Amino acid sequence: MTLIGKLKYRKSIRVGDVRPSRVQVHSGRAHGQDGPSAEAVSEYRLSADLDENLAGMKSILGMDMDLLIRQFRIQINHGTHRCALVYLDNASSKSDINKILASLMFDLDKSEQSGPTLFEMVISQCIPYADVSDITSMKQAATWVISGNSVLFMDGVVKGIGLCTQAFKERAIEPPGTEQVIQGAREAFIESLGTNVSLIRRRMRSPDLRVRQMQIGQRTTTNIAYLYHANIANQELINEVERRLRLVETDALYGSGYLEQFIEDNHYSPFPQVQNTERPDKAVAAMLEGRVVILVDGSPFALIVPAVFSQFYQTAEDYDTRFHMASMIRGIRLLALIFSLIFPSLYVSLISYNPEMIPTKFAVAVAGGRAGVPFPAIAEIFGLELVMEILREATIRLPQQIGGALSIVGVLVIGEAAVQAGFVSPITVVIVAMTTIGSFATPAYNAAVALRMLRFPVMILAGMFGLYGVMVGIIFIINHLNSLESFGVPYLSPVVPADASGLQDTVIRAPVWSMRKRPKQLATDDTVRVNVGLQDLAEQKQSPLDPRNSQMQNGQQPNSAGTSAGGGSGSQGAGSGGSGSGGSGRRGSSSQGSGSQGSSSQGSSKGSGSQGSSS
Amino acid sequence: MNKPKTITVMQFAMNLGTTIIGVGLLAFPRITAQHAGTGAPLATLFGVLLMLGCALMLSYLGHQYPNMTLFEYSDKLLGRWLGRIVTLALVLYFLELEAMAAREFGEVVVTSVLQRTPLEITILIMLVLAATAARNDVTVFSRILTFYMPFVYIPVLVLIALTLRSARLTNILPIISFGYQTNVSNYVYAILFVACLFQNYMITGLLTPYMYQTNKAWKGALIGVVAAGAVYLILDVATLAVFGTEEMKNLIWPTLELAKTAAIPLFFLERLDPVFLAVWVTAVFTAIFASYYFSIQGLVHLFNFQDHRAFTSLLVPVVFLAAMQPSNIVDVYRMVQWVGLSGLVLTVGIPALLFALHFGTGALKRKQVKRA
Repeated sequence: MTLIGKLKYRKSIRVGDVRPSRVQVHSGRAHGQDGPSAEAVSEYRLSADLDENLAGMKSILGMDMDLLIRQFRIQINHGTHRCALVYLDNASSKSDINKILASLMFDLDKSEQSGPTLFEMVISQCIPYADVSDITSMKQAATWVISGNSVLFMDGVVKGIGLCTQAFKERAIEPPGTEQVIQGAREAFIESLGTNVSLIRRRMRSPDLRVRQMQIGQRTTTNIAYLYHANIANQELINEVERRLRLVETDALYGSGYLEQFIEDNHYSPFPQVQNTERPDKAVAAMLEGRVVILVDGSPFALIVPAVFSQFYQTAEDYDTRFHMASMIRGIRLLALIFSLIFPSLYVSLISYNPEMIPTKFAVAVAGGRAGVPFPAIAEIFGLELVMEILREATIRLPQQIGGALSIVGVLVIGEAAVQAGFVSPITVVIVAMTTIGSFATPAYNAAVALRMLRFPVMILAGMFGLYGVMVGIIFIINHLNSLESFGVPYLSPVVPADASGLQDTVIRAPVWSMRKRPKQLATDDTVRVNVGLQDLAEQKQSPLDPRNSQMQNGQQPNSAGTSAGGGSGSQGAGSGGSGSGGSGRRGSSSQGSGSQGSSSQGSSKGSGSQGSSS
Repeated sequence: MNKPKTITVMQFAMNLGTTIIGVGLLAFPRITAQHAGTGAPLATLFGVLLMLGCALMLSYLGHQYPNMTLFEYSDKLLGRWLGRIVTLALVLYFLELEAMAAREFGEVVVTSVLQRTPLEITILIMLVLAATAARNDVTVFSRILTFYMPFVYIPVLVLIALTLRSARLTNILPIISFGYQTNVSNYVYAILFVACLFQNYMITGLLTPYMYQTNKAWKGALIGVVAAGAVYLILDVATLAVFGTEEMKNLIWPTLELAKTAAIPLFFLERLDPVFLAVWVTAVFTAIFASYYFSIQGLVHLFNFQDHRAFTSLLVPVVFLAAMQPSNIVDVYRMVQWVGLSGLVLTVGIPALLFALHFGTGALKRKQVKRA
């Protein structure tokens, strides 16, 4: 076994040492609040002897195959010093290391260096590198190295220099696999935490975006970060997120879904109480609503808390399209969601319990289709749904090349053959197909899975009690949904409890200019989202190219309203609309600084010219 | 003990409006028509007004004791022992009310949809549903009731819109039926029976301490009771207009029969009554759930428990046995009427008593202050 276990180094790693500058550092409880404890430092102190240090590193890191120690000499001020660079192969960037070595080995003797100590000289003048830090203990050095960075030891110096050469292999940024949109950004998160943070930073250039880092997993020491907008998110919520993250004491953190199961509210519920997304734009939008985003290194899915049910049938695209379309599509998605839950059960109860509801002609057709089927409706549909689930699972597991072929074979051939063989009735196949398609129409995979699973118990209830059973099942589910909360936010809000500003963004997506307030249930610090109402928009708009416009002669230009989008702009617009030369004169003076009559009259002549050409 | 404030006035109104409408919806047009003839709608109106008065009294008391439930302030006003007796009476009464509602609905289901399913099963399912939901706290209780509001109200309005074409104006006239169709005692009976349907308004006493603005509780009570009253009234008028008094006396559940006459021309479904019955499961559930929850909270107060969840499953067998007491459907309705009417002593008497005591003690105190 390695020394790492004995050291219990997770207790003494200062989190900041691992990733020094890019993200703000936050230390978790499990990882020691105040850096290396005095005892640990004294026990595993670095020595002045280079060989001793290197031997220590080797014993801690256990002579791994990818541990590389590059020994070399540097010449500073006519003295020669032995040095060694310790790093992990394939985890750090070779070109960076080459650059560092080059700067140390070639360039040093050409110039005179000055400084109190060798360490100072090297760190301040010889290493042309951005992320550098002091290494003061053996454990710190070990942590530094295993995170893919490199450590420079010098003979006669009791400190090491940590160089951030981390370059874990990461894939390129690709379009999202599960949350595809027609209109909208095509970027998705990848497995690297740093890249994901930068994707978010790019979309929210605000100094108030906070990125807090901590580490979870005693063995894996996985970096996670939680992000929020400091002016919007409720401080209590942030504290609670931090508290819950600190409660996670686990051996390993395999991914964001694994973390989700620790921090959710109701651990027994089939419904996801944390939203996950692989879209940076969605994460940013969530933060701007006052939610907190949690990123896990090694997982391309960000967690969004708190999550409510209505988020699961919304997509990022809804805000990019016109509100009529978005509302309609949301309605369809909700319908599909409900379909995927109750469609087979409704079919069973109609066929088995309430055939009188079906129109006679159609009932005859249904009965004809079912004539040779040996099973009752419930067994038939239950079996077919089960087959469908198997098929769905198989298509995910199969290699992509034959996956498509199998789905065609499965759906068309097996379905057709089963009908031909008299196992199932054609209408059952239709019902099952519609249910499956319905569950695919749900944007959030984890919510769709919950309802997919729940449709089986509802089906059994339908088989036993008909419509009454379906209703009982639905009431049961709705009661459960009503009792759920995510970080104190009722799961069915903003529908129940109702909130006018939140209701604008549920099934119906109100026009963007009308959603002036952030969702109330998140108790955000800053409540105003959109600062301009329809009235302002309508009043300040002008139609500069409209031939009916007499103001055209006075040099109105298309963007005149845009230049004066402030508070008193409405009155100014009205003024310039009413009286020609006064308005244009003021405009001329504001744009050119010196408002002489000549320049303004020039402007007006230009304006009339443009009007002539347009009409 | 301070209670978390989570219920808005609108939510409170929706809760009342949802919980008042229960299984009585199906049979009450027959019973009112039996006793008041064509005067039934007017009797319904009087019944609504009576219960509206009680609801307003309770919401006023809720405002006067903004941090106390009905049980708590009845302890305070009546004294510890008398208060306990009152609480116990209410608890037992609402358990019985729940049992009767479950039984009545069980009969409906067994008669009209699931002929071969044992009555016990349908009753038990309803009770278990209520018991599992009752494990939640008052905030969630209120949320659940709020959620079902549209499921309770919209079907009624749709149903009436669909059946209006077979309505006859002559069927509901004369509006005042004294003298030749009914006598005063029967008329009062009809009024009181309608009042029985509203007994779940007592959850006001449970909800007011959790409201943000108790001073507006009366508004919520007004909206809730009037909305529920409007539904009952409209339904009474509609059934009467379609069937007429004489036909109605032959129908056990006139509302269900009304649903059978409903049809959407050129629509896919040929008959709609199973759909209405299915959606009304929610209405029945909310009513049963509310009375069950009310009794459980009363028991918690009575025994000074911290957690009410222990009672939720314990009481299911008790209620189930109570529900199985009537031997047949005729017996069920005899018992429903008897239980409901005698319960009015509690559900009308207790608020009135507390109201009077509140003013009495207030006046007494003022007198003492004056003397001193």
